[in-house]
Amino acid sequence: MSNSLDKVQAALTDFSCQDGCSFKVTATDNDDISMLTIICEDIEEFAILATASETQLLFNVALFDRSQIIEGQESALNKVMLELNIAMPLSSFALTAGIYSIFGAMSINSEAKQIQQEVLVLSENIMDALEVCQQFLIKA
Amino acid sequence: MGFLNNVLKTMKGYGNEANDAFVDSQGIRIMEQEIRDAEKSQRQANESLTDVMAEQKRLARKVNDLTASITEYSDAISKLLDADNETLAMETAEKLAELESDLDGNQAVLDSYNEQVKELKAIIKDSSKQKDALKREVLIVKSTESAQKASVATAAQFSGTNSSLRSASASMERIKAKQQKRKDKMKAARELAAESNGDGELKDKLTTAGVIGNQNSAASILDRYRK
Repeated sequence: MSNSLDKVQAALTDFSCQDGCSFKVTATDNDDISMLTIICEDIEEFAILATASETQLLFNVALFDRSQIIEGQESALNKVMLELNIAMPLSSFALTAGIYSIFGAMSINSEAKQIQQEVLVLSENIMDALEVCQQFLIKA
Repeated sequence: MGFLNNVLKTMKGYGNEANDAFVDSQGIRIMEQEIRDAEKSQRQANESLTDVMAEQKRLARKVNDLTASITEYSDAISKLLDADNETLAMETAEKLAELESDLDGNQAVLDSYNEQVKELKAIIKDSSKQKDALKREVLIVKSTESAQKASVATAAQFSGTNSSLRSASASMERIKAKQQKRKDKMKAARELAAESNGDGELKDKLTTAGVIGNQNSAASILDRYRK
């Protein structure tokens, strides 16, 4: 596990938001991948995945994949995401390997307080982002 | 400059509607090979530069020597002509002609070496810049790849397949219901707490009826003094 991810894990241990929502952090560290899975109470399905490179920390939440988009609605969804990108506090929309997500990136030199803020805001953005995207998604 | 464009090139499936852009380790390997190539060309240019500069120095020395000899022979010819020594002057002039053509030849080679040194220095500078840019790109691509791997790993964890995530709509509905339940529970707990804190409802009724409460109002204090 990289020092940066250790720092993230330490920052989130015993941290809870004002509503008393806490974060459960589990580490995965093998040859293939080194990451933290951060799960916010109530929204377990949308885990925040933390990875670190030599320069930055990435917090990414997979929201849905392309197969869940209503046929013909992909361009409209992409446009809405681009248009809302600036408005979303601290997080941005992304598309990686067919998976839509929201993410936040920060310097590996960030302090514990900033990391807590980043993760908290990202977790708050999850449901808001999904609510906007829902109109373009196939109903369950 | 242009690194995002290069990152895009390392993503498989870009520009192909059927496939999503995907960073693969093959792309990273190609970039790492490019870094090694840049390093190799830089090393080769460095070696060539050392050789060319040594040769350049040797030639510069030769050109200097030749120029000095030419000046010396030219002076000698003037002096010999002044002394009417035509034969020796002629012999010296022949030598001078030889030296001058030798100088021309060497100067031409020296000029080309000077050019080569400039070019090699430019190549070294360029490949060093290119190498730094590539290294930065590899870092960015690698961090994109690890975020991507993390996404895919989690998707697999939830859905049991590599290709799709659980339905976001279904998850949302479930989460909303759960959050509502939590809110209701908290509201109920607050109501319960209010009730147990001094039998809320009854106290309100008694206050309204004027049986209890308002003991410390200004009017009640004045009443106390009037008694």
